[in-house]
Amino acid sequence: MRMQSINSARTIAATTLAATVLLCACSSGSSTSNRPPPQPTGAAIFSRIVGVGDSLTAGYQSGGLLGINTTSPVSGFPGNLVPATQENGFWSLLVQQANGLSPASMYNPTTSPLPLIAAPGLNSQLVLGTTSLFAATHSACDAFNDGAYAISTYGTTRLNPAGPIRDVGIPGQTAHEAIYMTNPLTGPGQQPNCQYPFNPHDPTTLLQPLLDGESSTFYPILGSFAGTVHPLTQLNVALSLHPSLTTVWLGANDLLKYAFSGGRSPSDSPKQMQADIVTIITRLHAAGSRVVVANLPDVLSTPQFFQGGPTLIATLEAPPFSVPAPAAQAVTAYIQATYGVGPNGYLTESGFFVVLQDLALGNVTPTLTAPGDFLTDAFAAQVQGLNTAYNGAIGAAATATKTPLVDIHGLFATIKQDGGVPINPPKCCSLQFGGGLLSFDGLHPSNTGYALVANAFIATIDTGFATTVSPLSNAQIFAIYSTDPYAQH
Amino acid sequence: MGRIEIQSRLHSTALRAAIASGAMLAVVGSLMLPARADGASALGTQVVPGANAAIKWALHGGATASPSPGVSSNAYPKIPAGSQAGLPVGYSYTADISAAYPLGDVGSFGKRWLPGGVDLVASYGFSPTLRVAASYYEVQHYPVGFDSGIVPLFIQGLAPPVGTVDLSTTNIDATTKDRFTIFNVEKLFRLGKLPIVVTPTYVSRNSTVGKGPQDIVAFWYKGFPRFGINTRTAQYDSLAITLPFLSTPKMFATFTAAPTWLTHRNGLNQDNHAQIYQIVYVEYNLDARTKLFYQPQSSRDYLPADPYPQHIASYFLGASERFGKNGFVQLVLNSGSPTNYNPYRIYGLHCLATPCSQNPVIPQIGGLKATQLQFQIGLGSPSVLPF
Repeated sequence: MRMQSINSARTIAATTLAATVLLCACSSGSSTSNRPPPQPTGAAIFSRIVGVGDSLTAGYQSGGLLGINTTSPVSGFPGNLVPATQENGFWSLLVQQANGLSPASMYNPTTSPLPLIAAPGLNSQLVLGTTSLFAATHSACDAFNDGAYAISTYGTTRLNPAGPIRDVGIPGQTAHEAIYMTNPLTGPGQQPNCQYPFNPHDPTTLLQPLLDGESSTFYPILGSFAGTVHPLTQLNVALSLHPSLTTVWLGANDLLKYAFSGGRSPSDSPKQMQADIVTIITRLHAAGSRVVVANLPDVLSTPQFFQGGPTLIATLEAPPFSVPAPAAQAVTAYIQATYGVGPNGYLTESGFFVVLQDLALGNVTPTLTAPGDFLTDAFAAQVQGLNTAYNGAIGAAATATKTPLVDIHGLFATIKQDGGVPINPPKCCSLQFGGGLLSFDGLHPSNTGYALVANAFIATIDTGFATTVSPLSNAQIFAIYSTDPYAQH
Repeated sequence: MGRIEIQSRLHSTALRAAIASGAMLAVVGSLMLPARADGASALGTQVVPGANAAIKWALHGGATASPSPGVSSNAYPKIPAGSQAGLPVGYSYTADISAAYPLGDVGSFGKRWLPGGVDLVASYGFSPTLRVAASYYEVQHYPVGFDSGIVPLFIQGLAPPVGTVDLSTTNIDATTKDRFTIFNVEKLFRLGKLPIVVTPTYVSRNSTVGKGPQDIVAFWYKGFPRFGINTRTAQYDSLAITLPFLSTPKMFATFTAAPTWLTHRNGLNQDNHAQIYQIVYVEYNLDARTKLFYQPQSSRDYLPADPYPQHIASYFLGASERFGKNGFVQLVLNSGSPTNYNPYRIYGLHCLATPCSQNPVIPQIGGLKATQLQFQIGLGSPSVLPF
């Protein structure tokens, strides 16, 4: 990945965080029948693959969701490219492998099972900047994004507003929302910075930023089902598609909202998470679908989070940041003393760029904002504990429903333990910032990272249902890496 | 999504205080709350009094049931010479107006009278064993727990609550006015010396909740809001059987069992099995003009907002006094609540989107409990009103 100057780091920090928080999560819908149809076997399993989930299923990358390659003058990618994201997601790759489809078919609005988002894309996609490290392609509250919040205007955000989609993952949704969310939970933020005004007479105004992610993507994904599916939920839409195989990957947004709100987000408890996942799987089974369910990586292991203490010193001193040792040590000590971010705490990507910008100005006493810029040692332990508890809940739900579990947690843990995946050593790939497995938001995989995730799904499906879908070969993965805008070449 | 700035102010107490200040009450105040259960059925209103009257006449006409000379009792009204003991023959009527005073925890609704009840009954007896009647009743009540207590506030789609709301600050108007139209046929049989009245009945109920012109109110059910349902409108058929079990110069008592069916399912109704109403009526006559009565009952109410019927245990305790030629006044204390719908009251509010002060807020409702004192004044024969 090409690293550029950090002169505008503070400017983009908030944008980066905004994009990252948008992350994931979604869920599925329901409808049951007294006598469920038989579940398919053999090749029939892949006749109608449906994706239930969040941004990770939707193919979200670098703070945005986009279904077409486009250009922007702010992009420092070759040819001012703003790369499509959805076609590079794991679900797209899984469908291609299972059904023998070409990547081009995923880009075709008339045939694609993806809810293709038109340019410039939903939310605010980060690209390499021309004058700074990163640049946002457009505002998250411009006219294009604002159109996503209403059923009457969402169609302007889609390339295939009436397309036969089967990936219904909604970026930003939690597990519970996938079952019960029936409409956007807030309207768009206001210019110029997409902020929501606080009304002291109504504390629920404070929740609006927390609910904006799923609100901005709800209709662009589900809007075409509004007239036929009631109540309009992700789970109900998924059931209405009569899936033969459903991938379920939820829970990341519960965790991230908790982390980015300082623990004040109304997220699922682990017990509720288990109940919600069981509900989703049970209803899909009742509709005759095979199901695989995935767990969560340790979110603190992603490059969205920069560990404090000696690790932070080492990160700052190493390329591409190359901060002088005295400054790195001083700012790290200040952060620990002032904000409680010690060896077991974390700066978020937003907070890290604040630190970098201040260091560039010779300031080793940065001003960080809580929540959002950092996780104290104690709170990081809570986040990790919840991460582990959620995975326990997802695993228990899989066991209770006899559903194959895609061990994404194990995949990422192995990569971390091994120091990376030798796709093109030493340039690629690892979980470090700029390591090539995650996109610029630090949370959503790069094209290469999604390919590894796709293979984890394929392996679980083949094992669980005795099928023979070929995983992406090393040559295929290398080819994906070769054009991956988020990996170093 | 922008920077998340959930601040420490977002605590339940703060939310409650803010809501109490009226921020979101423009929304909550517009709630139209379904009162989900009748405390009693129309059977107790029209069928039982009619059957009781017939049985009284029948008993009075029997060989052993005549009141002792000199005993003044309205349990055993005098029968004109030459008349056959049984149902009244010819035209009869009752007309009254009523008001109710809600008791129990009705919160900020306060203790004030619910005016406006009108009852009209007209009947015609073809013979001592066959009579038809048509009646119309209006009943008002205010349920307990719809305007009091602190309940959690949820955002649509989120599992945990985001705060709490004091219902007393929400200006909820759950005043419910039920209107019953009843047609029934009374047929008197005798099993030996035992008179029995069989009463095929048709009941149609429509209602008004709050200030709305009707009873279409939004409510929460299994995770989703429900709109457009007439929450209290129903029509049903019943076959009541009434028989006496106590008859003395001062006292009179009957038992009524009435299997009842909805004429059709609507709303959330899933099935329509016969629901068996059971009503006991006991009266004590102080003199020819004054009586005390007690009417415990187990009724069933199958409302469109309920997937299964509510089993409502209730009682009526009252006194009536006749004046003039046909006048009467009656005071009744009644109370009832479902035994199979817990909790009764509003027990949660659901905001469909943020900010809650600008979006619909839908109540989550259990069973209905109501206690009230009713006052009636009219002409004819008083009957026990449901609530």
